[in-house]
Amino acid sequence: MTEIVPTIVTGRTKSKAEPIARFTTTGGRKRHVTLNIVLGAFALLWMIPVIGLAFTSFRSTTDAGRSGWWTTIGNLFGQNWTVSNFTSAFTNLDIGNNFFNSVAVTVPATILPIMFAAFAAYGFTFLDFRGKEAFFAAIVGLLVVPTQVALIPVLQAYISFTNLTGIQIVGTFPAAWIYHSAFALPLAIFILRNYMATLPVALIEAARVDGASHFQIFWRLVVPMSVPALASFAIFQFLWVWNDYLTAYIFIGDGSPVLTQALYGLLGQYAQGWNLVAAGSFITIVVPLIVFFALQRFFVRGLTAGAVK
Amino acid sequence: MQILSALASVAGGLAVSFLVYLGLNFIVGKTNTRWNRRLLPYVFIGPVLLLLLGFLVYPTIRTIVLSFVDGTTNKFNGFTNYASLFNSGDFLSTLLNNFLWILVVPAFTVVIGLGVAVLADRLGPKREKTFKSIIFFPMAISFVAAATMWKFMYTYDAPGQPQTGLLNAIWTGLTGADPIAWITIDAGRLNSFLLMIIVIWLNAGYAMVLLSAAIKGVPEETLEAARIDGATDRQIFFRVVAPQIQTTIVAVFVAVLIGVMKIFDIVFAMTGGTYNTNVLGVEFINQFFNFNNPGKASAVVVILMLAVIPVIIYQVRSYRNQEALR
Amino acid sequence: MRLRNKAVIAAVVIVGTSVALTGCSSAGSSGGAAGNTLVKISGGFTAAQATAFQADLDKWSKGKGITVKYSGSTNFQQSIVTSVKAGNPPDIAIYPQPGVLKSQISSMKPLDTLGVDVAAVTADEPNGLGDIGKFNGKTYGLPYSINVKSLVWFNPAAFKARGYQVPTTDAEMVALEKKIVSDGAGYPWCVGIESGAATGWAMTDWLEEYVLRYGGLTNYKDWISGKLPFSSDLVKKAAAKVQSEILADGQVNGGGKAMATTNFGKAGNQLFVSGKAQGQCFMMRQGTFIADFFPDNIKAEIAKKDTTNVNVFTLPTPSDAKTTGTLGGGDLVGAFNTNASTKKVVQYLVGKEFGTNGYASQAIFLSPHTTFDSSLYSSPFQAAAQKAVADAKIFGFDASDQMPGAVGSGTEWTNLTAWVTGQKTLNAALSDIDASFPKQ
Repeated sequence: MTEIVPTIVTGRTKSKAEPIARFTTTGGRKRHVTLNIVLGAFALLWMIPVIGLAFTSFRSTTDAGRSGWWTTIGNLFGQNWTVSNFTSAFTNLDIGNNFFNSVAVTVPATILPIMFAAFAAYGFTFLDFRGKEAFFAAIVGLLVVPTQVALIPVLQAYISFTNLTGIQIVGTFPAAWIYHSAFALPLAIFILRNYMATLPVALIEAARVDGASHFQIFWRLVVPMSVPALASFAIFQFLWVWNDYLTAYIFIGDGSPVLTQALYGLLGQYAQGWNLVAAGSFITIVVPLIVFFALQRFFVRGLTAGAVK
Repeated sequence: MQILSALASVAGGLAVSFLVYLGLNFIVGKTNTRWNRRLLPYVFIGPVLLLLLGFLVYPTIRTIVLSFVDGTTNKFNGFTNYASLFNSGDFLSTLLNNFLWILVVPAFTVVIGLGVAVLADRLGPKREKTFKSIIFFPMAISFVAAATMWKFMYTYDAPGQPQTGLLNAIWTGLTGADPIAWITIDAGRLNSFLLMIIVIWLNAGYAMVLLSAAIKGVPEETLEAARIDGATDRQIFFRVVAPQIQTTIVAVFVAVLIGVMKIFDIVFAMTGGTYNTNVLGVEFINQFFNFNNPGKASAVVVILMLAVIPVIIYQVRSYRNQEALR
Repeated sequence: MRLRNKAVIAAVVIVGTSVALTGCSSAGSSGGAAGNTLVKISGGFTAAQATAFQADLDKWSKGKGITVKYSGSTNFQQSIVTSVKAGNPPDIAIYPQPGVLKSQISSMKPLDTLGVDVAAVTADEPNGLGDIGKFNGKTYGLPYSINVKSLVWFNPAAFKARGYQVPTTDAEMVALEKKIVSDGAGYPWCVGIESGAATGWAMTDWLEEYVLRYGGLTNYKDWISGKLPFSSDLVKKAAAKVQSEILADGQVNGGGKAMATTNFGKAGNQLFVSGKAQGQCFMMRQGTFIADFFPDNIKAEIAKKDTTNVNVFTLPTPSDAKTTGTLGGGDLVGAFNTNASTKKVVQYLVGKEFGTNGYASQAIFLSPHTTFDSSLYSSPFQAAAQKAVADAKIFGFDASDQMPGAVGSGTEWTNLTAWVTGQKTLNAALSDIDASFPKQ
């Protein structure tokens, strides 16, 4: 690396117009093929457990206990394939109701902590205040606190709040939002601050000189530039909340059961329903995958560059 | 009606939270410049500090206090909870396991996540998306399903029976030897390593997404410049990309590291901590919910918090350095 | 600046409408017809069982001014511990393990104060069931459903094909096992003790069977309370019997390692295959609930009360034992509220009538009352189990479920599993369990 020559780049359009390898230099064709094969094999290897469960979910538990799932591949048409795991899971999941409960818990519990954390990360990156390092140290330390330690004190606090004011909290959606949000904050702040620290300071300084307030810089400049980090954290937080049910069960209860609670309920007291959970998991995974695909469009090169202009 | 009210409360909740910030900013904006400078940071971090104080700091302090209290009599008992943890030989084995977990899992997770992110970046957009989705898939599936999947990998059937676990099918097929009850083999902590594979598999997508976002954030200009200079792919990665995403790599490593310190669900589902696979996270859940020992459970959490201190020191140092450079 | 004003207006509008709407959203959580009192029940069973339980209670509560809402969670233990400690308990909780109930009695209401006449209710129940939930002289829990564990499942068709007779004594059973091995027909026993986080519980049942029989009820109770250690001669003798039954060579396909890694629900499949090469086994000792795990075709037969391919006999008692006995467990009903509606529901749940509104058709249900109308049961094994309970002189309630959690759902599971796989010797395993027993 000698010197950096600035070149004209048109971010997004470029990556679309260039469907082949982005780094590839001359003679990269051959390596490109090898890369495809290697990554394809890796992807297949990665999916083996998933493929195994997918095959198994179309078999009866008896068959699944008698022979390995891979043995069916050699004799695809000689199997007693059954969709009963799926039909039974589908009926018992009560998707009509539980889906909306899940969405009502998950969406705010994803957006709220990201909003809170983005503000805080901005403060930790671009503002000066007393005790900054101590606060930051505390946030890193809180990362290690298991979620379960707060269940009892928070539930107690909710109840005493209700006793004082008469406003019911337990059993409502916000009871779970706040809990999920609070426990997402340390990690969200940690990740977002790290990202914001890589943003060019000169840009922010320039905006300050132009007379923009911190609030404006935050909304118009830093948030748009942080979209990839915000989107990646959104994916995780969505997943964690979507797949959680202990928090939802304790704070919202059975009045508005979330989909994951219904899913784990299929398991039964003695775990006899693992086959139903397997099938049900392939049904409920659709939503997280949609979220992943939807947010993936924010991971495109040049997006942040475009936002700066 | 239920759907409508759910939607309404979602919109309301988001709006209220947003208004909090807007209101705070408005109020602070009315003050004079000197006060404005002092107060403004708390517009940004104030609400978060309050939330953390109520939902994390207070329960944490409570936990620390509880770790010195006898669970049944509710009386102060000094270090008895700690002593009784350390006096059982199993607990030392648990600590050793935790140490192995944090030694192995974060490193492999980051290396796989980084490798995937970098290599996928060289594929065409469609293939890249498909490939990344595949790596991401384990993260998205419910964790009971994930545990079930891996039972079909590691399970053991008596010799002579058709093996329903893939690992044993391959083992018996290749060597002709008897199948092995993998999950029970604690020689060299083999079973713990087998469980680690599951967690690496689950978390690589996490590392991949964050690192991929960082790689995409590397300005095109710098890449283009290197390309014009005739740098090879490898040189571009190590000299242009790697330095620019270094902080993200560290951040992901730390995030995975801390997640692994309190790892619980996979171990709980696969072995429940038997066969010497116990870890602190499982010990905490068991002591708290199953053994009715809140004191010992709290002591486990305090041990975790002590163990994280080096990470905090490292992070604060690098935070200070970054601040100084700005 | 313009942008900010717009955002403010939009936000105000959204908040205004949503606050108006959220007012009615909380009403959605408390279901039931108007004027009825709601009684909330929490428990660990879910899915079909929960639906049937709710249906039974719905039918019963019709016209009584009560709405019962059952909420089951596979994380029952975590959620009940949390909600009780935080002061937000349900009205009624159903405990699969008395140990958990015991840890919560300070928040619970004794059933006597709910108008339950414990002596009358337990009059037709096997011995001791009234005592399981009795602490400090007060009864906090009574079973609504029990299960019988001293059952040996076998395949009558397989027995017939080999000319084997159902053993009625321990000597006959041991002789049969020898014959199965020497015939090369297969393996005498099917055993699987894998159960994820709860791996090992099936092993505690085996041990309890023989501690109860060799020791009698008094010693059994002393063992539970910790007065009689695991390393005592009695427990060692019981363990030796277990060892000779299932851990000796050739008794179980694959030996201890296979047992430890075979799921308890899957083990029984080998009853329905034929030939040693396929791993056929002839007997499986397991509780009534296991019928839920049999292959689909067998379950279909059971539903038709057809016992050609599966039936049960009672585990025989060794001749040098002190007593015959039946081992079992049960789900205890405990209360956190003393209002009139809760009282009625509790009285119904622990009384003889429970199950008559449909729940008896659940194969997993077994009324603790030996005078329960067994014609209401759908599976032939429910009736058989009820008879076994009625005939047994002694009913031993699952010991590990009554021991302190750290032992009964902790070190006993892990150490017995370590013994089964050969990672610990019996003596080491037993003394390690003793060492973990909380000092009183």
